[in-house]
Amino acid sequence: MKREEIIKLFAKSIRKILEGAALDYEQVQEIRMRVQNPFLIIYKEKEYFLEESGALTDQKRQAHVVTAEEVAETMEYIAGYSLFAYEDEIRQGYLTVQGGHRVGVAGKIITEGDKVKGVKYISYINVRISHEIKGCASQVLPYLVDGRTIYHTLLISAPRCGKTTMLRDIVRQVSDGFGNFPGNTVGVVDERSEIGGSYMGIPQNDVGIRTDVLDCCPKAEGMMMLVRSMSPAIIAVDELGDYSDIHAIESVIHCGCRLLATVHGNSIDDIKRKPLLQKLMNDHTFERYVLLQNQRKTGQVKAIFDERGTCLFRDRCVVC
Amino acid sequence: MLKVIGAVCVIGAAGLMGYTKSRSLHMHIQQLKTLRKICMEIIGELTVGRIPLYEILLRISGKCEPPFCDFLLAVCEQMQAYDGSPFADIFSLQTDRKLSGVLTPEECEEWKKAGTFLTISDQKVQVGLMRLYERELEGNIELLERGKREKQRLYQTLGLMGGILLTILLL
Repeated sequence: MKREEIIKLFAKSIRKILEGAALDYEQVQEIRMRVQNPFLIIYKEKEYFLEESGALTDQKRQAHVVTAEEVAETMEYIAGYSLFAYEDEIRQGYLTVQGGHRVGVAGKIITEGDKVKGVKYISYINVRISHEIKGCASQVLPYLVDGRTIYHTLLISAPRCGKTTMLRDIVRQVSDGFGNFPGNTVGVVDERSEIGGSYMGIPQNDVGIRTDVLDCCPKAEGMMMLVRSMSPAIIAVDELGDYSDIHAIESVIHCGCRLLATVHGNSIDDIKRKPLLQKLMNDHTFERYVLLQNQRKTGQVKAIFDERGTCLFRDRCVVC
Repeated sequence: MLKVIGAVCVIGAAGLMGYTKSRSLHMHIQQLKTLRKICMEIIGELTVGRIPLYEILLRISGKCEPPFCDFLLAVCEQMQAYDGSPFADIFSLQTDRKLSGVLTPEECEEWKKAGTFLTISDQKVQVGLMRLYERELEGNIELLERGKREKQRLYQTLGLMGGILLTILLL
C-alpha cells in the first residue's frame, strides 16, 4: 500500500525506476530529485543513487539523471494537478501529501517586498516518507504519565530523528489508553497533515479513538479552537515555530489542558538558547523533555529530563 | 380506410419528429445551463478555499445529474489513477467520452479549453479565465433562448407540414 502510495507521486519514468527497485518502503526515509543531478534515495539510514534499472548504487555515474520535465511532472502529481491549492504551503517550502508524507520543494523564489510570494521553477524535490511505528513511544510513556493524565511534554530533536512519529504514537496511546492508564480525549492541531496524514479530513494514520484532528490548521488558532469546541484533556502540536504558538500554549495550559509538542533542536541547551522558548523554559512550563536522536536508528530516545533538568533516563550509549 | 390510417401515421410520425427536434433544443439549453452551473460552482470553490481539484470536482459531481456527474466522476477517477496523463488530456478525453453526445463539437472544444484553465497555478488568472468562459457560456445560452420559441415552432410546423406533404405525395 505504502509502495503504491509513494510511487504514484512520481513522473512516469521515475516510477519505472522505483518499480524496478527492490525496496522495503518502511525503511525508505527520503527520495530526492534535483534537476540534472543523480536520483537519490535515503534507505536504511544510508544514501544511495538509483540506476535506470532501479538498482541501488553508490556510483554517481551509473545513476539516473533527473530532468526538469520529470520534476515538473512529479510536481503535478504531488499537488494532484492542483498547485494553486498549495500556494501557501509551497511558499513555506513544503506540502504534505496523502499518507502524511512531506514534500520539500526548492527553486526560484518570488518575493514581494521582504516576503516570499511563491516558488517558481521548482527544481528540487525531497519526499520525506512518513512512518507510522506503533509502539515506538512505549519506552517513553512511563516517564510522561502523571496519574490519569500526562505531563506537559516537549519532544526535541534534529530533523529526521522521528519527532513526528514519536508524537503520533504518544497521541495514539494516550487516546486509546494503555495498561492502567485510561484513554484521554486528545486534540491534535495538524498544521502540516503529518501527524494524522489526513485525506479529505479523515486521518489515514492511527491517532487513537479519542482523538479529534484539526487538519491544516495554524497551530495557535487551532489550539484555541480545540479548547473552545472539543474540550480536550491533551493537546498535541508538531514543530513549535513562532511567538503566536507560544502565546497559545500559555492559554492552553491555563485552561487545564496538558500539552504535547515538538521542536527542532539537538539538546536542552539548544532550546534554552532559543529566544522563542526561553520564557517557557524559565517558567518550567514543560514538565518533561524528551530528546531524540538517530545515531543507531530513527526515533531513538537519547534522554528524558524533568522541568528542573534532572535526567530521568539516558541512553547508555550516549553521554547526555 | 387503410389510406386514412397510413396518412395519420405519416403525419403523426413527421409531427413527432418535429416535436422531438424542438424538445432536443430545449434539452440542449438545459444542458448548457447545467454546464454553466458547474462552472460557477468550480469558480466558487476555487475562490473560497484552497481545495485540490479532485475534491472540487468530486463534490460537484454529487450535486449534478448524468451525464455531467458521470463526466466529473470519470475525470476524478483518472486523476486518482495518476496514469501519467496531464490534466488537460484527462479532461479532453472524458469530454469526448461522456459529453460529445450532449454538447456540439464547438461547445466541446470550448469546454476542453476551460479545462486547461483549471491547473493554472496563479489563482487569480485561473478564476478570471473561468469567469470569462462562464460569461461566454451565458451569452450562448441567451442567444439560444432568444431564438428558442421561433425555432421550436418552426421545427414543429415543419414536421407537420412535411408529414402532410409526404401524405399528399404518397396518395
